[in-house]
Amino acid sequence: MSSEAHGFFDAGAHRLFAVMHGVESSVRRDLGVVLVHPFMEERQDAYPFLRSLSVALAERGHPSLRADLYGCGDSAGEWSDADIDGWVDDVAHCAARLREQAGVRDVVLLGLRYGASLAAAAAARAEAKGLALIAPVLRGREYVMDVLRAYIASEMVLNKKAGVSREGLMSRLDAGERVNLFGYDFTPRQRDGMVSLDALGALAAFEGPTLVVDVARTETAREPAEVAAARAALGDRGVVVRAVEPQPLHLEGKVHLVRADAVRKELLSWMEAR
Amino acid sequence: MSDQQEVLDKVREFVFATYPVADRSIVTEDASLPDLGVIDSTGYLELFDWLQADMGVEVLDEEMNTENFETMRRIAEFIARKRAG
Repeated sequence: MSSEAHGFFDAGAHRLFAVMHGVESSVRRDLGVVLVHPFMEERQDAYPFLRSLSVALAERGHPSLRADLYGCGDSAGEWSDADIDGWVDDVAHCAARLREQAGVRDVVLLGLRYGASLAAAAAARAEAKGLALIAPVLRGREYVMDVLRAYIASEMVLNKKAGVSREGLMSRLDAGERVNLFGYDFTPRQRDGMVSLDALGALAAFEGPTLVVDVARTETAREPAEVAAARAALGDRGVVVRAVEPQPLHLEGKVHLVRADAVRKELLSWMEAR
Repeated sequence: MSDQQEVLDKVREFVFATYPVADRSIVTEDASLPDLGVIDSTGYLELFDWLQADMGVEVLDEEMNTENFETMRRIAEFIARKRAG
């Protein structure tokens, strides 16, 4: 059983809530992991998986830190006041905090979904030793459009018809309006930050070891465009593997997915080689 | 086998292969997929991706309504209409 500690720490001008595993009992302290969550509903649905991964890493001797980024969960701030660059900065603060608390020399940034974009963008600032990107989202504009599409689909299920379009929602953002998506006030600033963040460029520039985990329902599923983009950005420098899981890790599903054994196996195996 | 029946079979195959369905006997061609809890909003996104990639049919935002996607039969009819142009 790994040790667990939670509390707030200063991340620049605000305080973040973080949970650390393995800081007290780890047998190997040279490499820690900062886990970067996805956003909106995905953050909540991914919580059990990220927690179980933190514990598994700590049990292998890798101290880990999971923080709620600014405006998320228990951390300071309102969601609608958060912006992308601030979140990238938060990730760098998380890496510094893990080094300080766990005494690790090196830190890997692990990002799930849009957390992968933030991890890649923060890699230089955080002086990361490696990157682990799980079911990554690395193309900001496409992600924004996907989130809007998901919202429209949810409206369809609730109200029999969507009644809105992505074009209409983008126009409202262009006009400076906030758009409420799944209960989150998505702001023009957040949209613009996502669109302009060059996560693929950051990934291409990162020189450390990188793991990309393509999470699929079947071995034969088509490779997502995001994974193909990551593969192209990495060239021959990274490792891209497929992990077959019964459902996505970041969505509410019929199965309460906690462990995600295939993903865990790939990640721990890659970490062992570091 | 008619083209329409073939499309319906493909829709059925996709639905049963993609979404966990405890009792296939109640998920008939005319059963409401959202009402039975077979497909939720994220499930619909997978359906739309499949329609585009495997069936060559793009779903426009304004076409996202249950008239088009409530049942497997309606999905098959939507595909036929789109293909007919």
